[in-house]
Amino acid sequence: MKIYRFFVILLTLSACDDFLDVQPEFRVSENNFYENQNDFETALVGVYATTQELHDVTLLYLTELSTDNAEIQWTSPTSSEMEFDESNVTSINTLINSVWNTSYTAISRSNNLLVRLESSNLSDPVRNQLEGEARFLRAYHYFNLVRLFGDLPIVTESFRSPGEVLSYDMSRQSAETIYQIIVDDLIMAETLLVEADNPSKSRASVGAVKTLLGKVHLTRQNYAEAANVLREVIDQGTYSLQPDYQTLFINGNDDLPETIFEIKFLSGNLGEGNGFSSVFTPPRFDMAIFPGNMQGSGRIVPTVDVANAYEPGDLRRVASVADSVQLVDGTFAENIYGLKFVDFTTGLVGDGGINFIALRYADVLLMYAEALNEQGSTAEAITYLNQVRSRAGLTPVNGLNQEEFRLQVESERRVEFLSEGHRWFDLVRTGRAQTVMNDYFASKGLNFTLEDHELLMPIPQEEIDIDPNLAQNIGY
Amino acid sequence: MNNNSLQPGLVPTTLSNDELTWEISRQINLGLDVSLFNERLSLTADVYRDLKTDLLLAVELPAASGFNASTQNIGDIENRGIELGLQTVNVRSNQFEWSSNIVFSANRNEVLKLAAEGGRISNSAFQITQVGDPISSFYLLNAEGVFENESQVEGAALQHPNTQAGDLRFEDVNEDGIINATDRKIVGNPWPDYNWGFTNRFTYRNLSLSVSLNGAQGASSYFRSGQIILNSAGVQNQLTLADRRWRSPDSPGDGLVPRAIRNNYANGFGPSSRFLFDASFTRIREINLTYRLPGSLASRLSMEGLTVFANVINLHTFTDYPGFDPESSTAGDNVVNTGIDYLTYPLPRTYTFGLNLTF
Repeated sequence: MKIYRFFVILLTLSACDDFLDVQPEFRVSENNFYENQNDFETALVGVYATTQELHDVTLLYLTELSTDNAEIQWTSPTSSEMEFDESNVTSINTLINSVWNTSYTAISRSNNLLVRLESSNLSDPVRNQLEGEARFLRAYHYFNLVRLFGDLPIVTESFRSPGEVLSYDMSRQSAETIYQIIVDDLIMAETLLVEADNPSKSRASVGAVKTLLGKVHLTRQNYAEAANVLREVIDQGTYSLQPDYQTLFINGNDDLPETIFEIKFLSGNLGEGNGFSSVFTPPRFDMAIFPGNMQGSGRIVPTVDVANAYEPGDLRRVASVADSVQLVDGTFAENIYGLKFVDFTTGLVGDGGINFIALRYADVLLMYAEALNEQGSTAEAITYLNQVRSRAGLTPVNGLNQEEFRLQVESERRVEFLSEGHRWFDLVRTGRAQTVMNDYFASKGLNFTLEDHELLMPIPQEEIDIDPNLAQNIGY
Repeated sequence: MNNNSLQPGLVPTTLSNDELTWEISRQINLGLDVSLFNERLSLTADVYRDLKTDLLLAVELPAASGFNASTQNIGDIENRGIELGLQTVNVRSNQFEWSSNIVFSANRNEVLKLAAEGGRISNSAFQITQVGDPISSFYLLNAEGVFENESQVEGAALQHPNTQAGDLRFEDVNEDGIINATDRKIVGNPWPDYNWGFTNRFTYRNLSLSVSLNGAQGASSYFRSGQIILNSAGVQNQLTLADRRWRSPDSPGDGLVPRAIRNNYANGFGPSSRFLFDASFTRIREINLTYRLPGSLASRLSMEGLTVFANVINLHTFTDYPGFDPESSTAGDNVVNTGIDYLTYPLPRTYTFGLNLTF
């Protein structure tokens, strides 16, 4: 089943005078919604739709363009885009604002659903499924936010009036507290959800919950807990590596055995496509790789640095990065661009139909390996790393010590997950962001630096303007 | 379920507000109507004060609430002003008449009370509404000009350590030696000090000519399009104003337009008063020339009447405003975002030629 966006306005109106107490007929009112299972399902789709919106490129500026994985080829980028390329993000960056807004919108919609479920008369299995999914989604978005911004305003309830919003404490709470909410939600979701026989990977499942929980523990350096829950995902036996790596990123990548959680997109000019096709490909008017010779915009394109990071014989290279582009005159021009999630069957900008894979089994294996290594079980960790290498057609590594293994995982993750939005989080999690980025800038002779305070993004200035009690991150 | 079906979803987009009440307006008007010299001169004058309480305004909400904005009874606002209208018949003879019509209005707007924290709400990244100032005042970093040479950069409060000659010099409002969002201040408002209109009409026998001018003085407009077409940053076509940019200490331009640079670290093309312009203007709004065929001639052509006219609307605007139209506002009539000009369409100049036959 696919989850898509479809907007209808919900509004609550209740006036004092009887003759004015009319339910609006041109829009749906919350007062007469949330009656049956279908209403709740529809509201849940609204949360998934917001998640889809977040992943339709925007988040990749913060997680890929901000790193040595990607750069801008476009000659006329916006200042917000440039700021990520140059590690100089400011509080008026519109993309930061967009990620903040979209994530909190999704959180608020999950909250709303959870609050309404409390007073619903749905059967337990139905309610559990809905609640489990809503809790997963809330955790998913808080986890992105807390990693990007640090301390955050916490909202877990649903507002019914501006007065309630104004009297609510929206000041930033410690990241520790946020993580507690995330872990609580995920543990709760794990008990509520029942693993279906044939689960749709676009919706929260037990496997998705556990994988996310593993990632949360790993980020928090709770290695034993991370290893435990990731072990469970492996032992579940329902996920496996795609024999052919490329199948993850091309048309028809629905509900693959390797996929744990995916964001669905659909081509066909329905407003449900994604923008990867133009964002990852060259900003050339003379190229002929799409129907109608659609031009790319080159906003988030793999760097030479990452293209050279693949070992010789790595099968992932050809599925991830192209070195030359075919032109309208039939010749080829040297020009690096990204291949993952690029839909070569559509000639419309923003109409890519390839699903974005947010969580997948290779990530579980590499996270598990990382957690084992951090606990000193390097030899065992190597076997999981080698599963991923083997699929990529590479020879196994062995005999690494703990520190060597860390760097091996780092480079393995870099090429395995190029363009998938992991790089920034990986570098920050391992404390390597500044070393890696500043070496990268130096190697290119660029006068940019990633400074201490830039490991957290600035709180959007617009939000501070709206609520002066919202504190800015130090250094911005 | 089908793997490629669309699944409809519903989301709450608007926050309800049970406490919403009508806006209350208390208005005092003093009017004067005078007509003199056989109606050759008539004057109307109005002085008014309009006190709105429980003002209804769309107030931005924190994103963490899940909603963008909600309409609230947010405060009290006062409008005071005068309106004058003067109609004169300057010349009246058998065959020739010249009459004039002058209108003038001035309004002062002030927010008296706001139920928001600190007596201030943020309208957008460009405007705020706060007690003591006009509604939707521009709240921006104040660009005082460009650093003409390196010695001016030395020791100045900077937005970014790499700031160099040719970058904008911002006012350090809180005098902490750093330029950041806390240095924004009210640098203008989108409301004109006064508006005026002046129409002259000349009639000679069957020929008549009317010329209408109008204008406004004292409003500011935030030329947001300038962040793109006046940024000297990339390949977009630029306004000729970009030619006045700083090039070197020897060729500093007009001292207001910063150097050409791709990067925005020195906030050369982010929001600042650099893109706030005086939107005062005088416009030749309409000229109309009409010839009416004398009745005797018309009836010889078996017609009751025949009129030929030529009309031009928006012939020319005299203004220093760099955008297409000093009156344009992307938000239309929305008070909260009035005065932001972002890629709005120019006002068309319209020529009309007509022949009016009556049988």
